Amino acid sequence: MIRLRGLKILGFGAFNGEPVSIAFCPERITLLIGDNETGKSTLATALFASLYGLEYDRRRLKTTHLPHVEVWRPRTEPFGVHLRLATDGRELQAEWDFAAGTLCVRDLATHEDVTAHYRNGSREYNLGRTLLGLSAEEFQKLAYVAQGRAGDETCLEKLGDFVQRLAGSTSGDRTAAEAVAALEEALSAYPGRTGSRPTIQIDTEITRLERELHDRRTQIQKIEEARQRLAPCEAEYQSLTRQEKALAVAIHCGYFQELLARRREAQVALDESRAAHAALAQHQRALAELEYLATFPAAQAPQLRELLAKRKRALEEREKVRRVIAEKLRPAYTSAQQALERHGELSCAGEKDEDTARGILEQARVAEQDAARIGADLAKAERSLAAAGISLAQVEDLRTRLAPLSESERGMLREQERTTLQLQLQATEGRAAVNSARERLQQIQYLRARRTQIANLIVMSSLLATIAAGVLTVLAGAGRIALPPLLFGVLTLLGVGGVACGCLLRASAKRLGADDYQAAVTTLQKGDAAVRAAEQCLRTFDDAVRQFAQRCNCNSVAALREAAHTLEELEHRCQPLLSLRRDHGQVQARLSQLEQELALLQGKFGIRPQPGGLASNAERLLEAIRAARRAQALLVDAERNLNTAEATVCQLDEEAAQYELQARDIMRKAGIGDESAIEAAAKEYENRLRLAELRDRLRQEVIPQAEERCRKAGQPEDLAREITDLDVKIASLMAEHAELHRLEAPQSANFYREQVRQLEQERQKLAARCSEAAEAVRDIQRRWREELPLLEGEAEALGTLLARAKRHRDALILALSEMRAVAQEVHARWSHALNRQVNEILPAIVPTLCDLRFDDNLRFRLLRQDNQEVIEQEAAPLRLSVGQRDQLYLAIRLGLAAFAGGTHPLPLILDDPFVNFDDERFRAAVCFLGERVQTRKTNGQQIILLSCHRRRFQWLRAEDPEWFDARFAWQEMPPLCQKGKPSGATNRSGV
Amino acid sequence: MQPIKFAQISDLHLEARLSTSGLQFTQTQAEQRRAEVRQTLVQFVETARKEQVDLVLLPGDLTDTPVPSPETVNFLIDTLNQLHPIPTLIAPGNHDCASAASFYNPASVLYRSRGAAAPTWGEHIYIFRGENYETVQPLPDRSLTVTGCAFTEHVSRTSNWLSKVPAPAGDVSILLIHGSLLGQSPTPHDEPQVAPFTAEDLANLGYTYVALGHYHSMSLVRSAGRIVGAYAGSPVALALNATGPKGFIIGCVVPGQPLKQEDLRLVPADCRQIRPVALDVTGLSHQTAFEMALEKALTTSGASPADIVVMRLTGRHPPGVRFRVPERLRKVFWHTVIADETWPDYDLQLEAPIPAGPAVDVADCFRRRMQQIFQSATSDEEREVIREAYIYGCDALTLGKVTLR
Repeated sequence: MIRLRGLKILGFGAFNGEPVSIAFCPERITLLIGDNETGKSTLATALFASLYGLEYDRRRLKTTHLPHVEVWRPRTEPFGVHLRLATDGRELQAEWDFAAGTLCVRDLATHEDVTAHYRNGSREYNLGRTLLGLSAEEFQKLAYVAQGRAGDETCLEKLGDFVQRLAGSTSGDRTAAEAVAALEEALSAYPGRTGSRPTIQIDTEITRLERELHDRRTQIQKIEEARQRLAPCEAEYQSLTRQEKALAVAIHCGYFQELLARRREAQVALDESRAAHAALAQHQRALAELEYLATFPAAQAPQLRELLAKRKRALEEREKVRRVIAEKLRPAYTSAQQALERHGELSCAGEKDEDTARGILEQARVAEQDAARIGADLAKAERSLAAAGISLAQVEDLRTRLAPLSESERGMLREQERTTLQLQLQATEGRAAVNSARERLQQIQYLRARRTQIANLIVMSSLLATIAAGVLTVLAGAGRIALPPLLFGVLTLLGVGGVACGCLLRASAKRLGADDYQAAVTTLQKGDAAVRAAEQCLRTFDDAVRQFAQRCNCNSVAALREAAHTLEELEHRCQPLLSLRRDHGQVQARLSQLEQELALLQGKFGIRPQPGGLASNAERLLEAIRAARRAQALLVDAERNLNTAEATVCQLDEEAAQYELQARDIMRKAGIGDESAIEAAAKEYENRLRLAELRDRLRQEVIPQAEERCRKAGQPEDLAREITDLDVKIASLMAEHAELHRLEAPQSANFYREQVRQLEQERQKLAARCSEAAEAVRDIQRRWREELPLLEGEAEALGTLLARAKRHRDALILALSEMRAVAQEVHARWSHALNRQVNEILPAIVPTLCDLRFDDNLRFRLLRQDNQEVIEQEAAPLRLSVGQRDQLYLAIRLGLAAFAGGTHPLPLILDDPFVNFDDERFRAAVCFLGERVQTRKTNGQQIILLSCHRRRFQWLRAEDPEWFDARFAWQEMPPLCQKGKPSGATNRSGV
Repeated sequence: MQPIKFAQISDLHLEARLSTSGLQFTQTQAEQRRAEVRQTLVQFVETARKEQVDLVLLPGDLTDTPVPSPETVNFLIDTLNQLHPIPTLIAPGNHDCASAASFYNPASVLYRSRGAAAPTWGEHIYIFRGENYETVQPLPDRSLTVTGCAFTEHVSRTSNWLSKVPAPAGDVSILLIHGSLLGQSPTPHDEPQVAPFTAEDLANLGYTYVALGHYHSMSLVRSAGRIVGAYAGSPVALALNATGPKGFIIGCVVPGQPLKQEDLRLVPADCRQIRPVALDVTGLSHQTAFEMALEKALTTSGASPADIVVMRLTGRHPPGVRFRVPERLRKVFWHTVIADETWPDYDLQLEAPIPAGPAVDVADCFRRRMQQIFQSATSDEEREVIREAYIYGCDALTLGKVTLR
């Protein structure tokens, strides 16, 4: 346990003038009273710094929890404090020079420098930790109540966390819960084998590593198994190699024997070759002779003979055609000429003339028939009109009268007449409709009048009945009569009902036949309008007709109408006659035209017309033209045949001449003088053809066969050379291998070649097996050499990683389980002790709060005395006043200090904790503190209280000076030198 | 009789993948390192010719497997053929065992598949291909015999394998074998034991000199103060613990005289060394301090830029602060391996007595529980897990997050 004796501030923050000394009372509460900005917090900080020093590295502020040196550096030197204290029976003085960053601790009794006990490194000191056993942060948490701290709402809310941290702190900053969380995170966020993100579950990593390691070991096992096979594979390879060598020797012998056989066979072949070549030379000589004989000047003899034959045939044919011309074709032509000349001028009639004559004949026949038919009809019509007494003169007379009117005006006249009749009819109908509508209107008006009369009658009757009822009522009221209620009721009912019925009847009378009435009115109006329009139109027509009559010099409109009607009727009746006359005229004109055409045609050919009519004349002319044209056709055919025959003669002449030319050309080339020599040449040619056949057989059969024999037998020179080579090889082999001397080759060379080939195949198979065995050996060796070290290296690395991961997992799981158990244990112990301590303090300071309980998680709950309300920690900032919160905070901090201090209580620094206390609570709290010190319940804990409440403390002291002075050592704050406070130190909480 | 001068090299492990050596080479670095191994063989041949040695001894593990690539076989044969006419004797070891399939067998697929133009074993090279000991006289005009045998399989021999060694013959007798020396305390090597023997076993055989292969560091085998043989070791550093200079031996045997240390000379052949640099980070609170301390340690280690530096970090670091070796310091050297064996600066003395009285806070309570579990643990592995769990718990309480180790 230490006791702080005094503090001498040489220079610190605002204390930058003369040195300031403050003595701390060990038995009583050191009460330092000072107004605001007198340096109370600076003093508290200086006191803290005198135990733990200042931090010089800004980056370490959070980890060391020390005040930063620059914030508290005064404007003038010196910069330091001297703390005097007693510990373990020794008086020490710690002299800090913050400017130099040094500490000197002296034993005041022996004047010994004991700094070494409190040094940690060359420029690091652990005075506070050595003396108090606490880190700077722990000291802050346990022994220092900062000004205004309790007023912070979040402070109380986080008080449970604070207590947890306090309970769980080792260096003073982590709770067991946070440690558990950190360990759990380490388990779930394993950095993996490369140590880089992404992280995975440690169990996942272990599983993966085990799998990979198993894979590697399996592969290593396979390679090891392969290594076991290396020796057998190598043995097999070497065995195969030996077999291959033996085969090579056998092949060598076979090859030697093949050489011997080939030597022998080559000699035989050489003999055969020489004989074959001699025969071939003989055949070739014979061929050379035949080649000369077979060459021909008469080689073209067959062609020449053919050409001469063709020429002969052409000349014979020409003679035949000439005979036909002379005997047949020319007389026929002459006869046809004569026949045509007999037709005179008709001999030049053409096809057009024939068509014209035929057309005239057909039209003449039709016209003559039409003329006969129309003439009969005309006579019949004339007879019929004569019988009706109608003459065409009447018609002409009427037409003359009505000539001033145009045809359209005559039509208009007829149309007006018809329209006038229609208009008259419409006017008549309209008048009838008007009359009918008028009658209907009158009928409706009558019915309405009757119904209105009846209604009026009913109304009047009803009024009378009402009046009677009223009179009776008056009389009854006057007591003159006795009015039966029934009578009164009947009269009243009749009166009222009658009036109502009358009114209804009148209304219905007004509506009676309303639709019919309206329709009749409409009809009446329309009829009147139609009549007026028709009449207007009739007047217009009459005016027009009168004008027509004046123009035609007619006396009246009726005469005009009569004349028009008569003309129309006569024209209608004379119409067939007029039509027949017109047709008759047309037929006659056509016949005349045909006669003229026929006359022209007859004139062309010099033919006179014959009696008998137009059609018979036309028919005769047509027959004459047809006969002439037939003669013309015969002449043309005869001429064509004659010309064709003559052309054939010319063509045959040309062919014969061409053949003759070709034959003469061949003869000239072959040196044949005349045609008779051709036959002789042809015979010679036949002979030579036989020679050529013989030559061809030699060339194609005999000589190739001889050549083939020579080829098969080989060139004698080559064979001789081969024999020489073989002799050299045999001699060489025999020289190399003496054992070959005894070898013979009774078989053929092919036999030995086949034997060598088979042995070679066998050797190749053996070589392939050998190669396979070697490849197997090489593969094993390669895997052993290349893969195995890699796999072993990987397996070793994986094994290391796996072992490390497992060790990490085991260690983390163990740490986690133990940390959980520790958290539970410590929290339970702290909650129990805190509940006891705080509940001793709480009633004295905050009477309204009767109970405070920390649970095993160090969360607290409160019980209010006034209303027995339970307040959870989270709700405390809302449910408690600022004053209550401050008081509760102070109570808990005092409880913590008392509990955490144990048997060696810490000096407690209270920086004005009563800011939000009312007078009564202030008094209660101060009295409690005083009594607590007095009764030694704090186990001698030294308390340094800094406050600005001078009046309150004066008032308290005035009440009982003796009590107060026994418990408090009053000191005024030393005067602050006003040379200027450092900018960063204004009203700053000390630590 | 004239002294016999010899050159000895072994354990080249040509074609070694170097992936499990703990050196953490990149692929490019591994390829370069393999090329450097080859270069040492070339240097060895040149040196042997230059030194005019009488004899070349190769006691095994020339390649990493008995079936290296044909190209490597070509290189090996071609290089050793350049020793002609110096008699060259090879006793295949457990890695390059003379199995039927190995490149030592001219009838093997591997040997034959290299093609007709490939180099063949020279007449000056003698390979002990059998498990039974053979004795040859490589220098007909000298009274010198060399006895040897081969591993024919990649397996360990029984402990009495030296019982069949024939008696030494000639004025100078050399035994050429591949095996593990027992009985030296502390054992300077951590190679797996094959064909074990003791120095006394070798001394009892009576040979003038025993040329040994298998261990990767050069060491002399003494018995009763007398040098009976020597490991040439691997000519290059192939593993994390292969510190010190590497090379091959040029030796000299004088008939009738005991072998002296100065008769065996190690010719350095490796162009780089493995340099362990240890740094205790306890008390270092920030990265800058760490870098300064590391720089200082590197400076005093004497490592050159061509070296492979193994930085072993030990001690306690502040919780939540993990020191990183900066790239600029890594790049100074050809290759840097970092072995981080630091622990966060928590009170890790879980085996200490559990204090009496109730726990003060969560951390105290947690610590007590972990102490209880730790002290009831039955195996080191279990204790390791508990210690790690304790660190994680402290991380979670102190930093609010867990940094996996």
